[in-house]
Amino acid sequence: MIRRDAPMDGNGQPVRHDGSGQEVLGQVRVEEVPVDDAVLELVVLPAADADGTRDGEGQEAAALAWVAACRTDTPPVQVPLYGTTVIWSPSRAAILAPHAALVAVREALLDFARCDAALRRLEGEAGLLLGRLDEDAPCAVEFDERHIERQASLEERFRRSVRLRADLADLAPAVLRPPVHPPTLAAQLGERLRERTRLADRLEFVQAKADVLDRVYDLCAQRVGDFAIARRHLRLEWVIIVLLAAELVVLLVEVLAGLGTTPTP
Amino acid sequence: MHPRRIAIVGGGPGGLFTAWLLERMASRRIELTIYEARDRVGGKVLTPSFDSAPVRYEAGAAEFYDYSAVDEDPLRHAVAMLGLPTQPLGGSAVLLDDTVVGTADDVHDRLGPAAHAALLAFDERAKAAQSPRRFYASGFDAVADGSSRRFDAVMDAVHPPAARRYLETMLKSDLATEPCRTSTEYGLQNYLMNDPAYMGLYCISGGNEQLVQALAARVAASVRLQEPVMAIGRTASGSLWVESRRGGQTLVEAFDTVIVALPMAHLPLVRFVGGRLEAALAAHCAHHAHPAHYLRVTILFDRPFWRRRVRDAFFMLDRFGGCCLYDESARDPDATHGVLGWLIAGTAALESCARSDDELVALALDSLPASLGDGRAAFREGRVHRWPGAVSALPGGERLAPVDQRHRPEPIDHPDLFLVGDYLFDSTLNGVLDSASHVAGWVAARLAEGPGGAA
Ligand SMILES: Cc1cc2nc3c(=O)[nH]c(=O)nc-3n(C[C@H](O)[C@H](O)[C@H](O)COP(=O)(O)OP(=O)(O)OC[C@H]3O[C@@H](n4cnc5c(N)ncnc54)[C@H](O)[C@@H]3O)c2cc1C
Repeated sequence: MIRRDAPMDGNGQPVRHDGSGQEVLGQVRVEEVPVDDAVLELVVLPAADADGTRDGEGQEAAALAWVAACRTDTPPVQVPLYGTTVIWSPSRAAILAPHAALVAVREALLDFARCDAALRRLEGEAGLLLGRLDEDAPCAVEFDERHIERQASLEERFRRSVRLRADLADLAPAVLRPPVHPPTLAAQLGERLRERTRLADRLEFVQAKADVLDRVYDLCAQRVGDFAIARRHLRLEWVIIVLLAAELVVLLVEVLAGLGTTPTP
Repeated sequence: MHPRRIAIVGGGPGGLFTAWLLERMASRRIELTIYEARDRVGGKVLTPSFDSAPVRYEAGAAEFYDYSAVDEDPLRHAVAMLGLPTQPLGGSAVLLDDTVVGTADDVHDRLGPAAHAALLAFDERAKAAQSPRRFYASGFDAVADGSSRRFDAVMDAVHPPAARRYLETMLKSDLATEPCRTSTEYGLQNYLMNDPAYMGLYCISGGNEQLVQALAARVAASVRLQEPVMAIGRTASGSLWVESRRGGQTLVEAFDTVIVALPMAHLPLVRFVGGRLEAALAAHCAHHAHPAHYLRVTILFDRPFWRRRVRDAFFMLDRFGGCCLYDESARDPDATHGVLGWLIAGTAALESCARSDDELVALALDSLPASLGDGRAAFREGRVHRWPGAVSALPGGERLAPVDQRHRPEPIDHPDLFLVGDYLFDSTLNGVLDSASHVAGWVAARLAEGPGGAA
């Protein structure tokens, strides 16, 4: 089977499907690599000459067309560096590199792709939570009987906003890692991909959103907690009132019973 | 109370920064006069255009150093306050014999494992000698240790020769001199500035000259263009006099304070009158005169033909004893043309100064490795800017003196005469700003303490 949007080999031939989830044509194959909760289709093309002087332009154009064909809202990012080229989009990527550099460049690309996918997921999650903010924000001020049916969903969103914060904290060291010096090819490619996709800025933006969510859902959780405590107290008060009333009734009955019987001298 | 009259000699970045800061810090009315020898302010920060096309290039300072990853960066702060947009610059490629050595992996693969090991050992040594924080503070501390040990001793220890050549080519244009003419500390700093943990690089989008233009637009000082200062002395009444020349006439004016913001190459050309002052300035110049040289050849091409192989904002070339090639067109995202700027440094720059512009442009074109592409076929126009003795090979002098001493050469009889210069710190714009703010703060404090001051 031949995929319509498959990558081209050096002769412009499309890649064939081998039925095992990987497409193979000669040396070219499409790997499906899990990155966070997404899958990245990856093509690795060894460059003919390590100095970047090969006539790889046709190959590069074909790889770019293949990556672009996946139609995500992010246009492909192309990073050429000293004879190696990495083309990346969130669901497809291609590496054109000299043989000796392939393993390290692949690792750097996947490392970046994992960061990007994780950040993308967190951006989505922050977006979803922010979408409910107007609806939930009043509960940060006041929570009472009228809101009782929303308690479960508020608790769930509180948990999600805490999770979001934790995931961001987990991701930050990978996004903000210091540049490597003396620079290696793989490290430079990773840094340039991070720069081009503005990973650090995006992380900061999600952190700002998480700050807002934090404040609102933290207050909501407090209000729900306060309400639960208040309800418990109310119940207790009623129990005490009922008990006191019962005691009063018993006392009354005893008094009345005492009135009805004539004392014997 | 009449305003205090202050003269600033030199309308380069040093003079302009001093005026800008002083106007903001002064707690009483001041009247500032800036003397500038040329018909423009800005000194060695200039962004001219080619004749054949309205395409800009940097003819002097090309990159600004960003220390904000380590600590506060006053230059970054000033650029932001002036509302100037910036963009990062980067590049790590060294072209040796037409081979692109872009990364440490390339050093290993193309120069061999021994060269790679030597590079890592050199890197280790440099980082062990100076942490980012120590580097950041280095211009301020007066050092008593052997900072004047020559850098060539360090370079001589680098083996094999391929590693040494790689490092020398990489460092030459930042040093602007030969390793034997500078200190170990300064040499290693020029290596470490390639490490983003120590500093980043940026430029002002649309041309670095906007920095000095923005400063000039903001200062209220009276700027006297084409009026070089010839001599400075003290009047009988105790104030300082400044003698200048305008249109063939000699003018003399009295000031309460004089700040001389001249580079080391120009300072000895001013006559300081009065036994003590003259001797102090002579000693100052003898301590700080370690001239280093630059020469820029900038060529406009029809297209950036080299980008197939190198896409960095700058890269190093093993010609002219090691030079930096700036891809000036990379600074303009809409550029259709290509501009390459050769920054030739040290003895090669000094020797080349005597050659004609045409010769230098031809030499620059010849120096392009064949695999980059045919420069002659794409050639449109070439420009040359000569900067002999324009920077310091040993900033701070043989031994770094205390900061106050560097800025006030004769404190006893002339406590109101100050010096500002990049050569007092690290021979960069960051250095000249440090120097300017030190003097501006000092003069502002004296104003506040003096008669009619706020204190
Ligand atoms: C080729 C080159 C590249 C450089 N690259 C960088 C870089 O990338 N990054 C960086 O940070 N720094 C760089 N520098 C250094 C930077 O340009 C200087 O640090 C800075 O210009 C110093 O400012 P200044 O005001 O002390 O001196 P200048 O810029 O030299 O200004 C001095 C001014 O004084 C005027 N003058 C001279 N004599 C008199 C007189 N008698 N009377 C009145 N006026 C006078 C001059 O005309 C000039 O305008 C570079 C320098 C050169 C030459």
